[in-house]
Amino acid sequence: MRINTLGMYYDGGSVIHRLNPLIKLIFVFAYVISLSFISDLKIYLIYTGVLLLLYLISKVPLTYAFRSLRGIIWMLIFTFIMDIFFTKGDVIFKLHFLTITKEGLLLGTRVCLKFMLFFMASALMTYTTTIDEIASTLYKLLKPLEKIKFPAADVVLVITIALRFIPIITEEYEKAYLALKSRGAFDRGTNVFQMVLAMGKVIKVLFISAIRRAVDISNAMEARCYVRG
Amino acid sequence: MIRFKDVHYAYKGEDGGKDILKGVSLQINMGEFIGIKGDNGSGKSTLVKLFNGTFLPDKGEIDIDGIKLHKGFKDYNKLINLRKKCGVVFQNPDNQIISSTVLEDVKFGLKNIGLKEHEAAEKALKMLEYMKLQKKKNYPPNHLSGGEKQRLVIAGILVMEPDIIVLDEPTSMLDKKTSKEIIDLLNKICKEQKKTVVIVSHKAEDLRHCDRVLQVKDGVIVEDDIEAAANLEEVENKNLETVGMSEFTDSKLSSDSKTVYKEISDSDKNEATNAQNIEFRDVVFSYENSKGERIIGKEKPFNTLIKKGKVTAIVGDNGAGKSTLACLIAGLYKVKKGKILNNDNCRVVFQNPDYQLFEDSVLNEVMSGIRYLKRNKKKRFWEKNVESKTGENLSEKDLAKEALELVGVPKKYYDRSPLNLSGGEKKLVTIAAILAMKPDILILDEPTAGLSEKYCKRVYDIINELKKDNKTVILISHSEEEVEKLAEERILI
Repeated sequence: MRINTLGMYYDGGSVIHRLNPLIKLIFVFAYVISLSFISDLKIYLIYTGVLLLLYLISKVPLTYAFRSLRGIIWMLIFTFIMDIFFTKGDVIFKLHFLTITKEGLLLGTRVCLKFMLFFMASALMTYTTTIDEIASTLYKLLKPLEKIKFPAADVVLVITIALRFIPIITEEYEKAYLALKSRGAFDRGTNVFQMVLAMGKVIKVLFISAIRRAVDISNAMEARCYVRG
Repeated sequence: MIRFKDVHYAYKGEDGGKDILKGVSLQINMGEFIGIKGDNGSGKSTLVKLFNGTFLPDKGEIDIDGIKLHKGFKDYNKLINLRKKCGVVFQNPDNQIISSTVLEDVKFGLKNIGLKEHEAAEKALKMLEYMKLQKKKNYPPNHLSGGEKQRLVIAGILVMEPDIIVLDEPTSMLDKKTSKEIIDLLNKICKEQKKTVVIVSHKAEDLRHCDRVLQVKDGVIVEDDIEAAANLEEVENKNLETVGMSEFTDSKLSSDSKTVYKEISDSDKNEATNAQNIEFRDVVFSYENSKGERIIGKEKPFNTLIKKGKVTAIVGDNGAGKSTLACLIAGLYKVKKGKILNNDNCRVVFQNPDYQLFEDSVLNEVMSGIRYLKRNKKKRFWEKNVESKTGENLSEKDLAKEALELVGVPKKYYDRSPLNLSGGEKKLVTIAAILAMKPDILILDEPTAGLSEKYCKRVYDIINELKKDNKTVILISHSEEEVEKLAEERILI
């Protein structure tokens, strides 16, 4: 089952792939942090344009960029709905108790764009940089903090395993989902409440498997002489 | 020399723990090729984890070429030396691939032991060439086939040049050809590089190069067979007799049974419609992110027939698309082009039972599918497809018990959590959970992968019983013997 997610590498062999990972990491940090302070929609468009251009240079297909958003699509929809219906301001549409305001629409668009750009920029980083490169660069960046007893090595280990886990968990989710689908849990005609309960069961299986995986992966890392730091 | 002296190990748990190893003593000389066999749950995987200090013995002592391990062992430097000396490849390759590209993964261990980037890269590239993976050095590991992943994890250990290599079921997910390649490679490494190789496997053919075969039973070594390799053929025949399948070895199946359907004629198409056979018409399938690479219908659209009331095997190499085909027949994936006919009420039992156990007890697990179908009012699936056809109106519990009895799960397990069962028992529960739903078509995806002889026999018996009842069963298998024994038809993809 071949799914592309955040945390996966795409073999594009582009200039961006070859670029020093430190530069890429600093760029992504700067991009994401500066984005948090922007409210003008025109500047969002510039940010979007820059990111799309970088995807083009990196030779990572744009479909990959959008698929990195799949995991957060429901959160985006929920945020958008909450913003457009519950923000006060100039009413542009009204149906019974539901009102959509101009401010709500702008806020919803801004927040959703912000999240989308966050994810797409981070995904570009992982599509063009191997996990090992990210880990060693992060460690170099965080190492000075060890002087003030910051657990840099542990933080890097957690980030490395988390990045490694995203594609694995996505694959396992599909396995558990298909197994339950084969039992008829998601057939057309099943009521929504039953489906939500069934999804809970899939998540339970994923949770158990994540723990088992974490133990197995750390055993495998130690078998290859991994020592923290 | 490797020596285990009266080694005990127990898993710690709330109920006081479960003894896995109950006094294992063994001796392996350097340079030997050793096989270890035994049933599911006999303690083989635990034994493997003791070789490199992943687990420490509760009692007794282990000596790995001069490094002594015992309860409370804490010398970290010695432990690192042990892991340089003794490389262990665990069971599932997916859980051992750490990096995001093939090359990075092979470099991982080398960098841990202090090699510079360029030295590590040079060694890793040589190793990838040796393992025939050099063309895929920049691939993300989850785009590799099962055999390639297995070669990658072996490469990750071999590149560190350990004197001892221990492998836990290295071929359980591989087809016969790839398994043979891996085993021959290990034999080459043992003989040419004078390495000590210890391999754990259920399969007799994996142990054919071994100088000795140790058998683990109920946590102790019960047999140390020096002439194992010479006796391989005998062992295989014995296995067949034990599983009650020897009558199939002479190929009593009709010549028609070996037909490989790749194309179908118009008369076949008519037959498909008349006999309600499953029919693939110009089917094409690709995963959404596979750069357009087709999994099914690679060169031209896929056409085939699967006969109703027969056991049909789908065979092909690792990565050929067998499991994908199963998901398409069961309607779990949608075809990109073409259509599949007469595939209603088809259910799949997937390979790994760990992803198919969702409930708190075995009985609830088996009842869950029936509940989903009965509650589905819109489709009225259960009334239409089961009750009206069979004329039965049994309760969920009765149906579940009937299925559990059919597959042979003992009554004492009904109220236990399915997660606490052994691998073989879990597999039987997942089969029962699907059988209880009374599917018209049953797909079994690698039903015996990783199972010991005892449970393989049980699965074969179930398939034979279904065969007697003229059920439509689709068997996905990479074991030629299994297909030969069980299938009446076969499709090669």
